[in-house]
Amino acid sequence: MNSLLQFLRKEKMISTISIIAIFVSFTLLSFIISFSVLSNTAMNFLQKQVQVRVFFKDTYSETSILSLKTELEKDQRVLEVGYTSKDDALRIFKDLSKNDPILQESLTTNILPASIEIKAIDVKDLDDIANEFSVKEYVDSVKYLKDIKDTFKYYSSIITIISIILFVLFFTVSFGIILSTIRINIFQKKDEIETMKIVGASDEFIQRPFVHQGVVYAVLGSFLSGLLSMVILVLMYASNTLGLRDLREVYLVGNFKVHFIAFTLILVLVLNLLGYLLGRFGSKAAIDTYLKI
Amino acid sequence: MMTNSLIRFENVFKAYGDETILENIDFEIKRGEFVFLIGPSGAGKSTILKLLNKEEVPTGGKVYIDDIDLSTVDYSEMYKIRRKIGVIFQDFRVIKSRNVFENVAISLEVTDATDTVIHDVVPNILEMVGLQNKILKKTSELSGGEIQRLAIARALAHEPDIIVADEPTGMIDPKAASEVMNLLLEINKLGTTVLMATHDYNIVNHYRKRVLKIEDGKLISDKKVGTYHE
Repeated sequence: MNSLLQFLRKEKMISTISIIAIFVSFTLLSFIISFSVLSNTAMNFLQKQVQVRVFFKDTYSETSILSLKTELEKDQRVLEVGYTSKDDALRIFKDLSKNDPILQESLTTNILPASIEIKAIDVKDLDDIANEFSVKEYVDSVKYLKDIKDTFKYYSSIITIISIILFVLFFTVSFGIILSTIRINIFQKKDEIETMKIVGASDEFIQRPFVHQGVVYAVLGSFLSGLLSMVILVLMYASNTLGLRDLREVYLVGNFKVHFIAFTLILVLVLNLLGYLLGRFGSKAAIDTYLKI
Repeated sequence: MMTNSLIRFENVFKAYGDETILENIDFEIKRGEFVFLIGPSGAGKSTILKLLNKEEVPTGGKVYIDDIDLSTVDYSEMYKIRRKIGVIFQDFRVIKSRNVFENVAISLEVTDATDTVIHDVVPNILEMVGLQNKILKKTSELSGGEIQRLAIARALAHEPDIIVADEPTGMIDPKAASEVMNLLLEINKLGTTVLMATHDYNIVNHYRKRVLKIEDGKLISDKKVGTYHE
């Protein structure tokens, strides 16, 4: 550890450049991770908005619709059922077209149908629910916003792929930075390493200070980038940028969700863990090639 | 096959491409012996020494240290063998960024010795080689003879079974050379095997020890009490 501190003091330029380079690289990494998590959250949010709306023929009585609603609420697949009567539909229509008197006047009688909105626990069940209703004789039509879900899913997949590519790219860049820095240091100490080998130093003994150096650079760089990302995200949350405060929770992976502030802490931990692994294995890879004497 | 030898070369052959460096080298050195390895520059003396700690590997034949065939030892495990050997290099190879104490301490640090042991052993070794007053000096402040004694101290610190010295008197004045020789003889008297490469016939003739003579990569003589004539 003493030799590491000595090196950090003596080689301020190399140390500073390496830490800054890793900091920049990891900050970009943290943006990619944050973007990916927010994109996953938006996907989950949108999926929850996708619903089946069933419009009934006028001949189908309100009592029957309400009875059907009660039945649906007991269905294991169903999360929520909302009812919009003919009168409610007319009121909503009038409210929406209040600035367009011609449109309002054109509606002399209430031709708007009663409807129910069905939200499923799992969006995969929406297809089945929509199909079940579409064949019923009392149903006028079934609207299912499947296309919105599929389109968003398509773009979300593209974003995920791009995020993974960028992640690998920036991680490789960071790996390269560690590798180069440690190699410069090894080159400076080439004679010392050879002498140490000849006097009986094990590979592990020679690797130790270089691995420590790599870990310190990477963890310091990744910690600073994590800290910056955390501050930016918390400020965005506090000012409700992109509606983050309304969102409250974010989906990390799939359906696993945590509070937004917990996410920022997890981000710092993940970046530090990545930094540690990068420093450890990057510096080990750099020194291994010099040990074969 | 278990033998009584500490160092054994069996029909060792070494070549770099078409250039043969060593040919049919066969000898063994028993524990506690003092052996001069002599021959003109370029005869192959340094290559023989490098084969001992696997800095070089033979093209053919076998090298044994304490009955261990070095060809069977992986590089990552060679440190165990190297700890049996203390090497004194012709060009000293002291570490310029470390002071006198630290240069000797490195031999112990690599064995993961504790700080207590290091602070106990290093001053004693430095006293033995007459550098007790230079303990915190930088290597750049030492004379040629002092640097050579420092290299000996480093080779001795971890109490090796063998001292391998490559022209240890080659770059120092006669007085310093005499001091170095006396040191090596004292170490040998304590039971450490010494193999010293040299082309200084005055030293070889004066101390009258076993002499292995190499010429053009071949071992041309092995005399129990040898002399050397150019």
